[in-house]
Amino acid sequence: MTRLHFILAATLLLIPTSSLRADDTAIAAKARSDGGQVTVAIDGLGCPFCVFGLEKKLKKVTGVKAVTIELKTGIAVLALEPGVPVGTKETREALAEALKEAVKKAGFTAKKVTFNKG
Amino acid sequence: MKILRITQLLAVLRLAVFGAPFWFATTGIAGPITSNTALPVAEDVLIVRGQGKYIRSTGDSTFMDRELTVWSAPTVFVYGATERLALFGVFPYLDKSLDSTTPSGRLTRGDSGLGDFTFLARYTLGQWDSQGETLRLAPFVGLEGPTGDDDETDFLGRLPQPLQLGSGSWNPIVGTAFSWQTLDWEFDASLTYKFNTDANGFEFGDQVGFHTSFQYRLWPRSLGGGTPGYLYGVFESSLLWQDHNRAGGSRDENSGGLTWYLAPGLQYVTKRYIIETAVQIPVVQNLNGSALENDFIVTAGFRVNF
Repeated sequence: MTRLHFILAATLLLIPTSSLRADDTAIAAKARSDGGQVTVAIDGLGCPFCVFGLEKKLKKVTGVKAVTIELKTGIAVLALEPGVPVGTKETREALAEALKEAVKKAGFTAKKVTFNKG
Repeated sequence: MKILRITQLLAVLRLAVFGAPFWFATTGIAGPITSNTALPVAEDVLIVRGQGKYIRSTGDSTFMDRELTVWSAPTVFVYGATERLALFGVFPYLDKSLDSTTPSGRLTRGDSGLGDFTFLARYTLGQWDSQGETLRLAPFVGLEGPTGDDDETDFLGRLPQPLQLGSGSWNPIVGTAFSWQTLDWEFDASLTYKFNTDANGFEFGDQVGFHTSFQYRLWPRSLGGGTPGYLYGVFESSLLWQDHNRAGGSRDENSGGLTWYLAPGLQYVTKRYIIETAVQIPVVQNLNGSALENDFIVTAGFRVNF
């Protein structure tokens, strides 16, 4: 049984990693093509493993279609679902608050939220 | 036969019973390989960590020529209850084997199975974030419970307590972890105290551990876009002290002491998983009496985000 654990660990060593970067590229392309895009500047992000929880929380925010995170700059790029209301100051502020809360629940600090038209 | 049993009993009671076999790295987040971190676990995120450890202790200068081999495979579940509160559950699988020479020849005693369960709760007390950098302070409390068998027997009778899979006792744990992480490197330090209590007339000595870890990104040399995987070079230090064990109310003079391990290692970190390995080499072993010294500890493991 103990040796089984070691075999399992050794098998995991062989899992390919290149697909992760491919996923990032696909998400970023999706974000560009859909038009509605939001960026969130995040403080405290230092390594790839922490990105998982952050992405998970941001993806749960209503209206967010896809998330990609630029680790080097600490910027999360979010592609919004078509029809998400961000036309007024109130709707933008509501979405910004929801995104900041999601970042906080992931254990990090959200700074500036920027709405970009695609 | 009775003399043989007494000889065997004394032999195993003199094992060095502290150190890695009883000191699992409970962290699930990116961070040290052999100790704890203060880095965050996102709310509702589950991290599963599997580890394999091989511990070898030889070099007995007595006629018994004792050789202790321990395989341990702790599985750690980490759950982010809130952004500040993380809950840890550690389920170790153990395989202990002691070979020694007796007047009847070479004998092996040992057992394998589930060891004692440990529960920990860690709270992030301090958090200082800036772009690409964070400092965290997170104290923790925990309890080790007696889920491992503590009354196993073999052909010589009941196994001595250090060879049992469980202590039979409830043992509180307190400690604190500090982490400083940047995009290029990470430093972690943790201090842990474990209050071992009595069970079956035997009490392991209390344990104190001071651990530090430095991780440096070896690859990629410069960061591009997205979230690339990291290859960290790791160097860790573990200073472990254990008080004397007590058996039947008497102090065992051949137990406890101080050990200092240094551990080089490698860690590959992605968004979804981590794979890692390290070798702990004892550079100082100031053990009491004739306690058996440790040769090395090899650790390999993985962590997966869910």
